[in-house]
Amino acid sequence: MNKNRLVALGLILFVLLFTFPVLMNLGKSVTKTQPPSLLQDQTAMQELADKLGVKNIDEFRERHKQVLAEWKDSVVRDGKRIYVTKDGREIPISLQNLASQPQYCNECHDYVGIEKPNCWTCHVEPKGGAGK
Amino acid sequence: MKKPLNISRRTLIKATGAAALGIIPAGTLLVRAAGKPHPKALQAKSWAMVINAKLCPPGCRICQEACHKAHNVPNMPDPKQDVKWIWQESYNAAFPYETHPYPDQANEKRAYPILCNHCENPSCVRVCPTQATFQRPDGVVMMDYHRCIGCRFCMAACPYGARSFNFKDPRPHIPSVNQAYPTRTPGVVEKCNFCDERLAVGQMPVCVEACPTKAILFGDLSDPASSVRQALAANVTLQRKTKLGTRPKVFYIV
Repeated sequence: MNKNRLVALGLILFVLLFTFPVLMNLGKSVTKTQPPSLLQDQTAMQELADKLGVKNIDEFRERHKQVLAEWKDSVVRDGKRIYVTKDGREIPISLQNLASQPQYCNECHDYVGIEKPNCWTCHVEPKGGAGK
Repeated sequence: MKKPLNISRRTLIKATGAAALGIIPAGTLLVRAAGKPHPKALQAKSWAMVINAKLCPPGCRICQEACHKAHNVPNMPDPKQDVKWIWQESYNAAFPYETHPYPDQANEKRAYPILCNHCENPSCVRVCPTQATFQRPDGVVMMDYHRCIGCRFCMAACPYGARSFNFKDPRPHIPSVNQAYPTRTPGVVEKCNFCDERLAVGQMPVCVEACPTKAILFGDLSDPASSVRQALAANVTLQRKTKLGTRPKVFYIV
């Protein structure tokens, strides 16, 4: 029947349209960007973790958002500008110091496909950074 | 027959509340970062300022320039979008309830430095729906720009006009950005912070240090030996719009 043919055509079109994003990306790598340069450098990873006062890069990955929020509250609400880590180290609270290489932030955020940090719309970006 | 459950509404609500509290881990209620103040941080029970307007040279704007430079306050081209932390007003505008039609000549001509009064009873803090503006234990009325949603209730509540709104991105209108202090973003309100960032590392506010005639004094209002208390004891002083009950902490020698 003529009607059945139309329905079948419609169905095929629908399936094609619906799966278009998957079909287009078949055979391509999942991530479009290069892995962050940070991940190739053990010392840089540990340096970054130390600056935030966490054990290693895994804890950095997990907790950096919370620690940054704690830093903000500590400075703005309590007037305390030195962060004391769990193991008793004292770190000056400074976004410029933590993100002395802001390209790390962007590369990593890019790599996992989330929004770039918007810190630098207010905080002055450290010199030599590519934070935009 | 089963007995009906004999429990009053009050007991039930109490029990439900207790049960709910038990579920929330105690840690989530009182999380505060472990922090330490800077070893040189200046501390007080109640910060206050005394401005001796008699010492203000005519036409001098050094305190304003120094403050606005240090805090990245922009020069907005449209006066309606003006941003200011410290500025000048005439006697009548500064002290509208202390006027009469026959003022003295000197006061008429003088310009008074005006800034946030860091009130003891701040109306801006009371109206802020997000607690973006709050009063610290040392009396400084602070802004947490991360929390400001730009509703501008505080601007309506402040009787001193001490708050400015960022209608546009201020960055292009800052002549030279001070790397050590953040700028603001469109959609937040800003104001004087009594130089919290300087007190925290042991420095006096910018305006106090910049003033060439030492007309601005800053100190602890609760300490009878402080410079502000001595100045208050030795002079007749005015506060702005006292009848509104905000209890300002900026005093003027007129």
